[in-house]
Amino acid sequence: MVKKNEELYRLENITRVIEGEVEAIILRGISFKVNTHEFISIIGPSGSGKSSLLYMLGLLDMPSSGDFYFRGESMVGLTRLELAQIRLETLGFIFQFHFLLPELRGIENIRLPMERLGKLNVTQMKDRVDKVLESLGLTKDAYKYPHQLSGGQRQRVAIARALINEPMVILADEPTGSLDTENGDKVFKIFQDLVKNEGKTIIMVTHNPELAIQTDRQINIVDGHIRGE
Amino acid sequence: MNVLLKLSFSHLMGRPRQTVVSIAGVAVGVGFFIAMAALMQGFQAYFVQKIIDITPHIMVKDEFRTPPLQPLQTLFPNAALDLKGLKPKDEKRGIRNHARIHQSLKKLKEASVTKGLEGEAFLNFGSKTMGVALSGIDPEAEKKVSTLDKDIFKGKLDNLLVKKNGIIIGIGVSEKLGLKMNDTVTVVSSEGVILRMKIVGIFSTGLTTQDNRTTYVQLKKAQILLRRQNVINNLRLRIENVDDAEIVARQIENQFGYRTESWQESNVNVLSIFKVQNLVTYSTIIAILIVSSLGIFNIISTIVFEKSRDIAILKSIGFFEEDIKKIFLVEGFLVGIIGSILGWGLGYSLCLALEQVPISVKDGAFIRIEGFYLLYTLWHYSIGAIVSITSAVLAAYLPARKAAYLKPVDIIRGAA
Ligand SMILES: Nc1ncnc2c1ncn2[C@@H]1O[C@H](COP(=O)(O)OP(=O)(O)O)[C@@H](O)[C@H]1O
Ligand SMILES: [Mg+2]
Repeated sequence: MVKKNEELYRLENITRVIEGEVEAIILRGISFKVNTHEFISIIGPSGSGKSSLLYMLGLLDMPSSGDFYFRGESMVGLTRLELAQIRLETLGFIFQFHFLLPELRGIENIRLPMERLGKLNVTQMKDRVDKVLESLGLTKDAYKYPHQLSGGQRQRVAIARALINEPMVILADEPTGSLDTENGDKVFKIFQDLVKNEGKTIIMVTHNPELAIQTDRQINIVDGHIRGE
Repeated sequence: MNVLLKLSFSHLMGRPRQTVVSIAGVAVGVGFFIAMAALMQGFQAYFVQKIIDITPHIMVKDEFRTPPLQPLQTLFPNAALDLKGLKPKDEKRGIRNHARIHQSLKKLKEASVTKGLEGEAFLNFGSKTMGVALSGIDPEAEKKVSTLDKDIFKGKLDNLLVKKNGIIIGIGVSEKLGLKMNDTVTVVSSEGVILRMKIVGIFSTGLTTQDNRTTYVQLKKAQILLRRQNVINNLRLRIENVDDAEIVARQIENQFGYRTESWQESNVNVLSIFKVQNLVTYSTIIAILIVSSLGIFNIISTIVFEKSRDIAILKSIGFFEEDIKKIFLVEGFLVGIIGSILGWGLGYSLCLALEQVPISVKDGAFIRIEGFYLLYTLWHYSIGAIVSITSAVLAAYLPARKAAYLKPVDIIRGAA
């Protein structure tokens, strides 16, 4: 388990500009820190840059200017391969829509990151998968294809996939946005549990103020700025 | 099963019609290549075998490759001379010292040798006349140097030993003049000597030039007809390893000076036609494969476009560009290998079908054949598969590369 209250992310005056016919400034000078064991929610109006910030925290995108540190190391200038390896080992991504591969069974979707990482042997992998399936209540439906699962089950499979390599950080972009209240609450419970019992750090974009209030910190983004916490 | 492999499979299964068309394209390419190559090279091999069986492997002629130097050229070796009206000297004496050369060629390992005299003559029979090549041979030695003895289907070669005025003709000559066994024909040589000779054998080699032109008589008779007592103008050899013919020919020519031709040199025209034929065969498969590669490029580009969200997911998880590339290269490979295997079946079936086709080529061709001769070799199957799998993977490469370098964020933004 990761030690508590250590610096995980440090962003200093991050901007993100997308060149094109018209220059789009998506993030305009964002600075903040994230420590381990924190459960943070990012809120703000639509189009304000929440997802863009999350992609950056997920090392899927790089800032146009500013400093970006993850675990004390500058991420600017790392190769795509190095970034992919860090994502694989330390980050779990969950999107608003489940984003499962339709050709693969639930369990195969879940195993993807683990097989890519390739650090466990066959029995270790099986144990890990069984554990995750059970904790998310998916054991019965593991061999179904995504189209055979309900919306809540799909989102839980997506969570299982994000958890399978035991990442220290989970980044979730409106994970409950496409779910009904009951399933949304279920997912949120799982997140709270992961922070409390497993020491994960979770950064979650959400439109739901009731959920946001229950997290440790809320970061309010408006028009590419941090409006307040 | 490996998940990436499963993805490759299911991508293809998801577009069954296009996949089947792509695979069929490869199969047709491979199948036709195999059939064409078997046909072409089967014929070529048959033809070469005929040449090797019927014509001498090596022939020493009474000629020189470069004409002897003129006295003026010997006097002024560095002068720029332009001698006009030079005529090659008619070498009446044939191969000089032929007894000595014959003796030393006999000592060659794994080789048989015979000597002969060739010239021109006319055959008159009834009201018909025909020009033929007159070949004086030693019947005993001939048996070891050519398959003439076996090709004689009426009479036999030994008859030349018994009947001193016997003549053996080809089936073409026999048909044109209406000559049968034991008919007497008038032979008029180019030197004006006339002899009446008896047909003691008729042969059929299958090689049209041979069957329509060549006649065999005893060496002594040829020398009388051509007025060249004790002269021979060729030494013919048959060697164990026919591929060595060129090397051995060069050695003999270097040693004795006379122009010495291997069977490859004597048939250089035909052999170079074969090279062109093969070129055509290979161009055909390449053309077909280009077309089927376009199909593969098309289907994989479509899949990459359709599956860009999945690619983005895989990349966001941490899959490497090489992993993504592999998924689509494997798809090209799968189309290539399945197409090749089906193409093998198609090619083999085509070959079996071609074997059943009765065709008969007789007049005006190099060679008389009944039906197609097909060459069955794993080489054709391997070449077909290797070339088509390679081109399938190459065709997949561009879309695979495109997939590998997709930016996940661009796609996830668009999809969300
Ligand atoms: N490729 C792009 N080119 C130009 N503008 C973009 C592009 N992607 C996103 N944007 C803009 O960036 C802003 C932030 O988008 P996003 O991070 O998705 O907002 P949120 O998740 O808060 O709704 C939006 O105004 C959006 O229109
Ligand atoms: Mg968003």
